[in-house]
Amino acid sequence: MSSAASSTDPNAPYWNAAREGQLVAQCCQACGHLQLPARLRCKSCHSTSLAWRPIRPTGTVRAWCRFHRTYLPQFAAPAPYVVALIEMDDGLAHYGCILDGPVDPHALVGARLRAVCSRGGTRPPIHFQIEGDMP
Amino acid sequence: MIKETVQRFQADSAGPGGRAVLVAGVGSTGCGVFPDRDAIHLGADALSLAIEDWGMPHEALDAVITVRIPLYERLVQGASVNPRFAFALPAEGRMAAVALQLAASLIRTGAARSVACVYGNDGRSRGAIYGGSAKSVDGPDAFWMRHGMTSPGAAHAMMFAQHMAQYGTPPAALETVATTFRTHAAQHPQAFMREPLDGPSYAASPFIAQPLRRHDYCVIADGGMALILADGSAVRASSRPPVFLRAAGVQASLLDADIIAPDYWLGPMRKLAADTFAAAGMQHDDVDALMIYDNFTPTVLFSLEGFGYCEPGGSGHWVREGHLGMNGRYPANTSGGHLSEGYMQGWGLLVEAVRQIRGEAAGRQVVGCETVHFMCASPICGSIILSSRT
Repeated sequence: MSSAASSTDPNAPYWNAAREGQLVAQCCQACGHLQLPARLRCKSCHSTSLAWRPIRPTGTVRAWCRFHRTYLPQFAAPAPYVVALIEMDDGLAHYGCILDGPVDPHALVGARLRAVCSRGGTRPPIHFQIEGDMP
Repeated sequence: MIKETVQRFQADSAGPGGRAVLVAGVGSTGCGVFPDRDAIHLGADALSLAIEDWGMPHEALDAVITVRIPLYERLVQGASVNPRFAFALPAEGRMAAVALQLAASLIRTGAARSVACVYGNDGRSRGAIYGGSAKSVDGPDAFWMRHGMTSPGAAHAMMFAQHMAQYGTPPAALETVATTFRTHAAQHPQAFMREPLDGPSYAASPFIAQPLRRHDYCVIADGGMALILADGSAVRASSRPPVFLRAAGVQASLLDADIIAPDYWLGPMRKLAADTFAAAGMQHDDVDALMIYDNFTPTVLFSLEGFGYCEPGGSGHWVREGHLGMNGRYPANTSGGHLSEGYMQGWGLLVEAVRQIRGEAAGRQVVGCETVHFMCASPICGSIILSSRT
């Protein structure tokens, strides 16, 4: 699985923007609802008029999981690594990898994170960093 | 948004004047490592055992629903049965309750007088892997996989991490679940993992997706299971005590299933509990034993909360009080469950429920067991109430 988006991938705009350092989401042109990953119609109003727009790259951790076993080669190097479920400030849920996560992941709940574009290497295209002090 | 005018499916039940549905036969190959038999072979063996248990000639079987066995035609050929119709449901464990509700509906409508639900799993010998393999490279699972979120175990680990943060749930509750079910498995000759598991051994097992350890994961096994449902008004060939399917229902919440359920499926389970207890004309106090879909230990906690056996957020302390043990109020997963008997995706638990009600569970028999509640917490929640009571 390469980080290059294929032309048939409905999430290609997300990965293309990620490479430019921007976090985007699918946005309903009718009602403004934001959703990830891409869907065929708006989850809220069922409109098929959908576009992509930037979202704020910040959010708050709701839950975490620390992977001690890795299933994908691009995550073999940073293992064990943490994936958090992040409530983004623009109101949608986003899983994100924290490559330099704390030793005690329990303290992550409530922490503020910011999405960072990963350049090069085997890293996932986007990862998250802790902002400021832990809660 | 569900419009009020939409007619919702109801939990299946006899209702006033409806037909009673019997679980008239069960068959199990047991769980283990069976490299010489594929899933079709294991399913066919289980179906043959179930037909023998039923006591009717195989020609009396009207319908076959296979689960995890996509090749229903080969299953029918392998078992040498000739039903009027047969079809396959997909491999997910959530399909156990779907299959039983469907089978019961066929009988209640008169479309079939008997329906076999047949499950076969050769995942142990053929190396089934449940992490890091997306069904579609472009689907939602693949999207989140590229962010490192790669396995069902991780999703349950994350739900438990949220539960700990929200309610202060003690991690030791998971140890209680794992060790309790292992104690039960030790009394079950057909269980895969029967060696004792104590607290220190549990705590010494490595993290896989932290906070879950190896012993929080179900045991992948080979095995086949079959249940035959039959019209309760038909002549019974078997002398075994009758087991009635008093209620069967499902409640899906698939729209956001690619992200962990923020409420641990509490909403759908509460609705389903109300529906199926009402359909059965029963309440929690009527239940003698529980069969809880235990793909991972936290699922047991979420199920107990969702189906109303304890308060939301209270499951951790509740299980630590010992209610799920053989001497507890609600002995659970007396076969050892997925965690120790083997991951038969609900079907081993359903076979065990029938054996308990019949009084056939030998060294692990729950005294006076009349009514068993099977429950599954997942993107399609399921609830089945079986009882010897009419």
